[in-house]
Amino acid sequence: MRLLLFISFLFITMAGNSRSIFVGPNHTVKKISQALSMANENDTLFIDYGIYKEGNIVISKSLKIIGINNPVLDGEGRFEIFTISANDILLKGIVFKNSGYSSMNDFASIKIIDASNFIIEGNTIINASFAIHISNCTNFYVRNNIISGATREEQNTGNGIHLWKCSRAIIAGNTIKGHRDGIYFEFVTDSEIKNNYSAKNMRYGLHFMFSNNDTYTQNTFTDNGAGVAVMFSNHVNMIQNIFEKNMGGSAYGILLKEISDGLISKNIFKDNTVGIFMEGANRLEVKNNRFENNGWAFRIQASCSDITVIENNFKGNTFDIATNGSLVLNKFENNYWDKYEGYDLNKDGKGDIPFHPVSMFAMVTEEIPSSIMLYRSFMVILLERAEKAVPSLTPADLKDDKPLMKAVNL
Amino acid sequence: MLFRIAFFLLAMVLCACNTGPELIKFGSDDCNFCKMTIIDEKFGAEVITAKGKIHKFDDLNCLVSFLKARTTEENESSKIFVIDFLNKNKFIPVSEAVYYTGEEVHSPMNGNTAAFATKVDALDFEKGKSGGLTTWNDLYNNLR
Repeated sequence: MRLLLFISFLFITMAGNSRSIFVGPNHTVKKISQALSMANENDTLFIDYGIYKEGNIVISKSLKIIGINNPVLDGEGRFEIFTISANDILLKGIVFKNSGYSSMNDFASIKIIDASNFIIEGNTIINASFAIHISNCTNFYVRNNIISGATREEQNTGNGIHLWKCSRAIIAGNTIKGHRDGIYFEFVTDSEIKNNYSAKNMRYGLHFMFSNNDTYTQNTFTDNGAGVAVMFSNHVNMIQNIFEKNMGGSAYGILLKEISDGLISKNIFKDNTVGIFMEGANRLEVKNNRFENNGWAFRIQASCSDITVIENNFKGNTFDIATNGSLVLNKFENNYWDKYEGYDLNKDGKGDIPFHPVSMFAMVTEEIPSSIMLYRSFMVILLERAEKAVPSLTPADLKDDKPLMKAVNL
Repeated sequence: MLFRIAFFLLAMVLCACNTGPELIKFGSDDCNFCKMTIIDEKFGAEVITAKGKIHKFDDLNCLVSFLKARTTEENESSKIFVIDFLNKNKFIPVSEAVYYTGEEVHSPMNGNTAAFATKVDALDFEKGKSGGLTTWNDLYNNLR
């Protein structure tokens, strides 16, 4: 690590006129603010180990700011720590602690406004209201940061990584815990969220609002207050993520509201109250996902259209599909349902009779949620059987004509 | 004894008749329209139907969207409240509140409108900001 720093130091000193400034208790420059006023554009600040309490620090020059041995910047519960408004910044290896809270301004540990081409990497942020707050920026990375929020009252906590009006961002490899929303996107386009771990946040692990053309892959969202919400957006792809243990009256693996033209593929939905809840969604493809041990695997409201649900595995869910109307504008095909009781005489791997994944009781609970307490009672089982013989409540068109006999290998 | 039971029943009946607004439990109640958990204490609204059913909202945008999806008769027979930007426990009848709309206000569903109980509060808030004051009728027509 030292060697690496030394080499990078050499490179930096060799490239043009840029200087290095060392800050620390054992260096001549003791304060970060002092180093900042000394620095020219493109200089590098090495912050040595120490505890720095300098209130709010404003950075308006293009600098590389690199921590050595995890220096601690303490906001003393009162200040925003870094306020950055310059391009080409690198911020690396620093521990931010105890930034302040304000009900009118969104105080953050690291706030970046109107900038482009920057990297926020390998920092640790502890006990913040907003951890990283980025607005009006383009072309940047936020990667491998560890963010853990305070366990203060929910409404006073901000988001872990908060992006507003940004484009071309890559958010990768971060761990986020204990914030309001782990990752929050509002008006963010052409961006990627990859390999993050978002857990135990008070509301959503990931929250999309009015954000188009984004992709999130290989993230794990676990044990968040209400799961993940993707709302009022289009062209959002969700691939190979894990949504698990989101439990509660209004908790969903993913809540999809007013979204269109997306792909939901190769995800795992496990141990959620509701795996996917969909309202007002159009033209989505739900393919090759695993729905396991959820209360409801999939709640699809009648306001959705052109949703294609193919080649998914439904195993061990209390209810596979629930809906609130009889109109069906969506297609279900070639899924594996562990509740399927049909046969395959021609041995083509697909059942010979269609499967109706909506149970009568799922329709009843959709209307009267508290009726769930009667589930598995004798009467309900009887009614369920009667409904199977003579369908009356369940939408007749919501069916899988070619259910698979064996689970898809995923 | 009988008297006590009767009193108890009467009390229960009276409780059930309460048709005023109910405090929003921030962090656990859901917005009836956008389904999000209501979290921001500066914004909130409630519609109480003629039958006494309470719908809660996290943003004026959601309130307006909900009202626009219903019939005029339904809306006229309902009581509609917004919460004061400055006090989360204060409900103001929707037509009596004074509103400020502007980009400085950042509400959960992009309505970006703050409601105030008095004109003094609203004018105080407006000072030095780019937006302007508006009324419920204008909001109803302009929001989604």
